[in-house]
Amino acid sequence: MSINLELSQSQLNDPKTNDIKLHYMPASIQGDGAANVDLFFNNYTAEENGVMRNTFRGHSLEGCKFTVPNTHKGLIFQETDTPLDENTNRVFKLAGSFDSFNYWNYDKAPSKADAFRQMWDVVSVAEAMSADISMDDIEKEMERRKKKTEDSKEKSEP
Amino acid sequence: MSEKQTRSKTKIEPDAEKKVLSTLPKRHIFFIEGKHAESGDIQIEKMRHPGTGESSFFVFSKSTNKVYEVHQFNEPHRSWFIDETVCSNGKCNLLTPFDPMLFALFYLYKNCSDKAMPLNQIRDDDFPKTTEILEKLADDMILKISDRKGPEDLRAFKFNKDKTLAWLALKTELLIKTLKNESIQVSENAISANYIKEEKDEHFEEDYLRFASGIVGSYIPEQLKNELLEYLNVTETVTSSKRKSLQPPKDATHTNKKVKVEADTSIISPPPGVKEKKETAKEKAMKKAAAGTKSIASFFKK
Repeated sequence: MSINLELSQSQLNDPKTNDIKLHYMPASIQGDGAANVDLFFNNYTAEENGVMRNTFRGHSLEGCKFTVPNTHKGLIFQETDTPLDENTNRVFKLAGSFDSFNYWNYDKAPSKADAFRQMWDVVSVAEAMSADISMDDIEKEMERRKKKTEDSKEKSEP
Repeated sequence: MSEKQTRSKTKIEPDAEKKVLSTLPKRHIFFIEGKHAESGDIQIEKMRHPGTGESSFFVFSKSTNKVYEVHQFNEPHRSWFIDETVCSNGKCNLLTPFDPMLFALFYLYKNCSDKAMPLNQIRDDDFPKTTEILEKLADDMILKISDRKGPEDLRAFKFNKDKTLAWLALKTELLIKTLKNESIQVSENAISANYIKEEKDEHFEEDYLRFASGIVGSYIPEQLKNELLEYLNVTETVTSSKRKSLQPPKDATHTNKKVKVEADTSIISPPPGVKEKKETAKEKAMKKAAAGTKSIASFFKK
C-alpha cells in the first residue's frame, strides 16, 4: 500500500493557496465542514506581549504565532475518497500551504515544554542519525576498541 | 436515576466517533522539507521499521534521492481551523531524513549473520518493496556493516558485528554532539521549561549518552541494541537514582539531608529557613504544572 501526495507545482507557488489562516486548537471537534471562524473566533483574539488570548466553548485559550522552521513547509492535503480496502493505494491532493499558524493551548501559556514544540527536536536528531559515517572513521573506531580491550586484558593479567 | 441512565447510554454508544459531521473531505497536515516539496509528487510507502519490526511509513524520493521517515504527531484533543472550516484530524505528519542503511542492517542482521546472502535474495513477503530498496544501496555503504563474500557482481554480504558496533557507536557520538549543540532536553522526566535551564551539563554527560544510545537503539533490532549498550558501557540504573535525588523529598519536613539536596540544585544556595520552604513549594507547583508534558523520547517509540 502506498499514499501518493500530489504536489502540483503551479498550485504550490500560487499565492492564493499560500495565504491560509490556520489555528491549531486544543480540542477534539467532531466535524469537517464550514464554520464562521472569522466572525466567532478571530474577532475575539486579543494580543498582549506576544501572548494571544481567546476563548472556545467557554474555555480560556492562550496562544502564540508558530512559524514553521525554514527547512520545512506546512502543507494541507485533501483526500477525496478514502478506500475501504486497506491495501488500495491512496491519493492525497494538495489543498494549500502555510509557513505559520496560530498555536493554542488550553489554560496554559505556550512554552518550550509543549509536546508540539518538542516534536521539532526530531528534525535535528534525524539529521544527525542520517549523517554519513566514513569507512576510515569506522576503521579507526575499531582500532581504538581493539587497543582498549587489549589494555584492559593486560591490566587484569598482572 | 433516570437521568444517570441516559448519560451512560450516550457514552457507551459505539458509533459515536463515526458520527462526525462531514461536509468536507478529510484533510491531512504535513510538514515537508521545502526542497523536497518543490520537486514534485511524493510517494509514501509502508516498510518494516528496523527498530520495532512493525509496519511504518517512509518516503523514497526519486528527485532528492533521499529517504524520509514519516513521524506522526498525535496529541489527544487537537484539531485545526483552516480558514473558514473545521478539520477534525488534529494529527501532524513530519518528514525527516532517514538513513536507509538501517533497513540494510535490519535484514543483514536477520538473514546474513551466519552465512552470506546476495541482496536480491533477501525478501520480506509483507513488504515487497524491501528487495528493491536494499538493491539500490551502494556496495561501499553496505560494506560498512558487512563483508563481501564471493564475486563482486553477486553482491553477497555477510553481517559483521565489529564493524556495525563501531558504526553505531560513531552514530551515537554524532547524535550527542547535536543534542548538545541544539540544547535538546535529555533528562527522562520533563519537569518544566523554567527548570531545564538550570541543568548544567557536567553530570548530565551520562544522561546524554543514555539518551542518544536509546534513540540509536530504537532503530535497530533489540538484541543488537543490548550489544550496543554494552559496547558503550551504558548502565540502566545509575543515573535514574541520581535524578531522583535531585528532586525534593515528598514530605516537607526540615531535615539536614534536604538542605543538602537544595544546595545542589540551585546555583545560589538558599539560606536555610523560611526561604527554603518557599522554593520547595514553587518547585512542586512547577512539577504539577508540567505533569502532562512529554519528553522528546516519547516520539521515537513506535
